[in-house]
Amino acid sequence: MSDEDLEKRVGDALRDGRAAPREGLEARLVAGAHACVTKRRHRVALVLAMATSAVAAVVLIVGLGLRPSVDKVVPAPRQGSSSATPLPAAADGVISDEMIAADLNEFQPEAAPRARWSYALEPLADVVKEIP
Amino acid sequence: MTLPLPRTRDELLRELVATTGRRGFAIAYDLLRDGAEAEDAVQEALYRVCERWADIDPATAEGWFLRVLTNHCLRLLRRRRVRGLLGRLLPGRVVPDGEGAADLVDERPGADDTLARRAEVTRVLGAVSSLPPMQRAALVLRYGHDLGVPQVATLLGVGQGTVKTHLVRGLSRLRGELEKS
Repeated sequence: MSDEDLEKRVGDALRDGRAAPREGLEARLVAGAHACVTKRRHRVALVLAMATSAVAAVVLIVGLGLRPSVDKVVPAPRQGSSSATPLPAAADGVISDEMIAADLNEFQPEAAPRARWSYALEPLADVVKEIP
Repeated sequence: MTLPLPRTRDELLRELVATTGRRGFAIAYDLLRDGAEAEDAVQEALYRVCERWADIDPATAEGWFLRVLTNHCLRLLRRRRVRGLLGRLLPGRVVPDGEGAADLVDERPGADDTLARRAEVTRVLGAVSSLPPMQRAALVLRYGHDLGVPQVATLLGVGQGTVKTHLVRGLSRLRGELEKS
């Protein structure tokens, strides 16, 4: 079969096998294109609404998270305390070992009053007295 | 073909549908072999024209529409091909390609007088459907719609040399398929 014959065969088959469109094709096409436009507009509106809600939710959560908490209020320094910075209070009011360690690390003997040394040495002196 | 200057998007839409709607449907049908899918494809192309109507020169609106339509049909054909391959790999999980011999027969009364003619149409269209999307599109546009190579190249968005290559390869493969059947 020559190329020309094959081309003709293909063309004839395509034309003969082509179904006629159903009645009212033009009206359906116009209506369909309008429906597509409306559908896309609705989709865009939905996406915008979802994005706005998400942003509002994030703003709300961050805003609430940044509000000062009662638990985080730092107590005033004790009377007679040598420390310039007061001890941070734990949420349950109990001072943890880590807080004490941090406080001791900041302790500067040369700046501390002698009274503090004497308080620390008093129990030791009692122990020493009991040693035979 | 030059369209009169449309004032609104709706006017452009109606002009396009009136002048090119049936031709667009015929191209989409020849490529997809499914009436409902062809209508959907034409609507999609019209929608895209509506979307960009302000940028479109009315003188080139028809060509623009047909090119968008052809590209959309090619995309659908490629998707079908992938679905078909997946259907073969995962039988029962993916709905196979809806193309079959039954879709290829024109059911209009009196369209084909003899069974032999129907069988010939079915055989040739079955062989055309088995071609890769670009070869199929090139053959359909060139021989089914009598477009010249430059027009086919414009619609497919490729060079004329590429179109000629697709035509030669498509015909060669088609000849092989028809000799086999």
